[in-house]
Amino acid sequence: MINSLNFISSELIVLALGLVVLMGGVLGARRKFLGAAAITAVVAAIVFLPETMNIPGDIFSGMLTANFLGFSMRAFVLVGAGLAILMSINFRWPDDEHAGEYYFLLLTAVVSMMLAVSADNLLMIYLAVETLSIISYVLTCSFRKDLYSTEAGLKYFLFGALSTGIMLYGISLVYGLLGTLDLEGIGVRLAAGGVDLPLLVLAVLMVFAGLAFKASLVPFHMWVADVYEGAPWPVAAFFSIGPKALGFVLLIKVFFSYAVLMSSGWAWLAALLAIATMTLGNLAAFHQTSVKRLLAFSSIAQAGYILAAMATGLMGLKAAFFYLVIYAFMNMGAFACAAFFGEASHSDITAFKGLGRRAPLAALIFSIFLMSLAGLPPLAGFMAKFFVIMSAVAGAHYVLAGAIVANSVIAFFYYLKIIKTMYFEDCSSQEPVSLHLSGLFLFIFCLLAVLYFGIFPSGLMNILTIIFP
Amino acid sequence: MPHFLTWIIFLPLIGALAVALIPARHEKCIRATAIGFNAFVLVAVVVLCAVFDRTQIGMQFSESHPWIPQLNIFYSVGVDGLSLALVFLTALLGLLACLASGTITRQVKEYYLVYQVLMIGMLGTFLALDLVVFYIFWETVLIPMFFLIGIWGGARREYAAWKFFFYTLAGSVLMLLAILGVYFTSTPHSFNMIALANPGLRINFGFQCVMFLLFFLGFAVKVPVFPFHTWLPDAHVEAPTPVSVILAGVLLKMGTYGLFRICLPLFPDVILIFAWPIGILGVVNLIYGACAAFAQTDFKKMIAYSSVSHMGFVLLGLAAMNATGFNGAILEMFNHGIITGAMFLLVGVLYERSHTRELAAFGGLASTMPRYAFFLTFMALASLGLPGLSGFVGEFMTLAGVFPYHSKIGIVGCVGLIAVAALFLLMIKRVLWGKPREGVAWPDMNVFEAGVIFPLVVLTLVVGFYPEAVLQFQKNAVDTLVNFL
Repeated sequence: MINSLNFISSELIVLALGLVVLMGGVLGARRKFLGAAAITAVVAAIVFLPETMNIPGDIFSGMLTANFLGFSMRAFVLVGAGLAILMSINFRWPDDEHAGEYYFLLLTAVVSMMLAVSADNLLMIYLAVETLSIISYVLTCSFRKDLYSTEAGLKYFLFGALSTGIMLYGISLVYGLLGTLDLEGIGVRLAAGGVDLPLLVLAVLMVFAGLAFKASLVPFHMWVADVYEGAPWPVAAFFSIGPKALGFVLLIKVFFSYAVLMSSGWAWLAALLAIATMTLGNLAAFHQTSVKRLLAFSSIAQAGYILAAMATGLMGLKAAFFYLVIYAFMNMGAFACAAFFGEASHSDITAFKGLGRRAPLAALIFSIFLMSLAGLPPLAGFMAKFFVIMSAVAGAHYVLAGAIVANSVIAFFYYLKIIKTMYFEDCSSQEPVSLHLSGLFLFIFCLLAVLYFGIFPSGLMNILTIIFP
Repeated sequence: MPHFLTWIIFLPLIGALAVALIPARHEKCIRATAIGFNAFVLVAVVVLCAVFDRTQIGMQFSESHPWIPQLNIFYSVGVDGLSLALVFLTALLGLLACLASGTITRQVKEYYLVYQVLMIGMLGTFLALDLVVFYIFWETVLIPMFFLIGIWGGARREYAAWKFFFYTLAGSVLMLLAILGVYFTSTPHSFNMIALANPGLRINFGFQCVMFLLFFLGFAVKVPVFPFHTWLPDAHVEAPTPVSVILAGVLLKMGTYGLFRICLPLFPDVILIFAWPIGILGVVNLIYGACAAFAQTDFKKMIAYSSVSHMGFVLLGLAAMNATGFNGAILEMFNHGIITGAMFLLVGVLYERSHTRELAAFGGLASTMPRYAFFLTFMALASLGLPGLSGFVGEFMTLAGVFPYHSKIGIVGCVGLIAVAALFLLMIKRVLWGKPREGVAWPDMNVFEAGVIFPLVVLTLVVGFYPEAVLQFQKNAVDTLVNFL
């Protein structure tokens, strides 16, 4: 039991400080102070994380498991949440916003995601994902009096409730068929054979649908653009990283780690969905006039590349993870820059005119993030895409490789469209847009990551070799 | 000196950082810094030429450091006779175009910043020996060029910038697929151009053909080879003068350089079969370019199409598949950079005065602008291949190379030469001779403008009378290329 509690010490720290933040909010503490406390929670959790790495034995009777994949994903979730909180601190909220509740919800979402990535049992996965979902619905409605925000929250709730319901049904079918929810146990039972195959496929597809919803894969992507558009910028940025990464990690855990399920049939399904996801995301992003919706569709397309990598075997898993890490930094950076420029919840692209002159530094950094998302060398986004295409070619998935290449050409159009608007088009106002110091810190942090991983990718690849031996 | 080539490639990066640190209002200081760094690059490249060992076979000054060891990707650079001429050309035109950038008056800081990044990409492309590194430098050129055309270009700059960007991007992603294809079919997996040229690594012929075509398409867009050339007139015409110089002088050579550096050594069996189609494409380029240039009423567009025509000679030299042809093609790449660079500078000089590029607006300039008339006539004669000037040597050698093997192509090529000659003579007639237009009194070229073009004139003369000055550098590289066949 002590082992188990030790294992979740990082989660406990986040939760405890989250409660402090909540109480602070009720007692009327200042917004800046609450943000600082939330950051402290995340940093403290990161500091404690290495302590939890080498804990042996069953944790909570096998509900959680200690492995390097879970460990690195917890670190990933914490860093992503830290960036989202930094972005929230700089964001200009309406006056009546309850900062304490907001940060508390964000921190609880972090806890649920951390538990989900180390879960080793379908029930635990379901509980963690459901907790995260409910928090997400509330976070989406953070602008309580904004029509878009509440509408987005309701939409998210309706889609989300349906998808988690389907997932739960799938899990119950798995239990009925195999008699266990433990992931390792499922692997053993599947290897033994003698399972009603059509029913199992149905059950697995249902679980897949639930996770694909979180990862925003086509055809479970309908909610993304509306929810991102309605949600405040920092929340949208957080959604585009945290829950999405969670969806992918759970897909890996549940499907791709078992040789039985990694058969060609699943690879084909993943490849097909990947092509559909990136193509649809890119084509939809093409005509968006709102930068926020454009970035939302771009994040769908990016999910397509990650899934494409997963479809290609072990090397692909490494490429997918590499992509996920880099995607987190560049997408967070792009969202932060866009939020800085387009303060209102729905930012029209015409508002970005002439920013190349009015805010040269921020416009340059934004352009670098966009180019990294598009996959231009020598930025990290290129390296990520390069490894994905490489794994596709290595696995002889030539159609998939061709689709990725064609899609990245299409994607250049709309990323460049934003850059073009900033630099080629003049705005009537020449008034300079100034940048806060704390906002600059977030930009620079993401920028350094994008440059570093683009120029020195081998360190990150070494870590991936540990995760996927 | 260790890391000599790395220093050359990344000197402009230091220049870019220096420019970035100077506040935007000190425009003169920014310009001086950029010119200083480009001069520095030129000096370094001249030193490189001086210490380059002409007798040695293979790469010199090469260095190789593991970059992504997990995937066998190395940062490796090196220089041989093939790349040396182009590196020199890049450094020279880089400096001259930078000097000629005084006409850029808005967003000066951004201009020189982007310009320096462009220099890194171009130098790196010619010096890289690892396919991934090559690809990265190749792509690095794209965005600066997109901005240079799109922000500082003419009336239709946006359209031209998009078109340039997507043509090249579409070509280069095909190249990326080919790079990966080559990598995975080699054992051990390698991206090294030198190692991949090893005949022992060649796999089945059909796959080689596919890889060759992917590479070829990527390069063909850049050259540009006939059906993929439509971005060129738009980009060249809309770009500001110094950028046109770089576009025509250096960027087009990236395509032909790729053909020689990658397509030929990696797929010699395939390219021998494709020699005939490449020759036909060369002739089509030659004649189509000249005819299209004929029809232009826009001075700059005329020069742009004449570039298409001249790049046809390079393809012809490649199609010859012998030492004479290769020598001619590589020399023609160098010469075309010098001559067309000067041509675009001259068009720019006139545009600065008249603010039009319509040929009909000019006439009789020989009497009012004698200095200009001299330079334009000189360069036009060099361009049409007058013996004694550099253009002739390259064109003669490519034709001499191609005749013994594909005499029909050679004959048609010679006919094309007549079209090119007629084109430039007509241009001289329209711009320089005839009655001066009334009420037009533009000042002649000033000393600065003449000084920028002067080095190009000298080089044209030197190469024209003593082609060995360039050929001696590339001899061993050409022998190596021929040995691959």
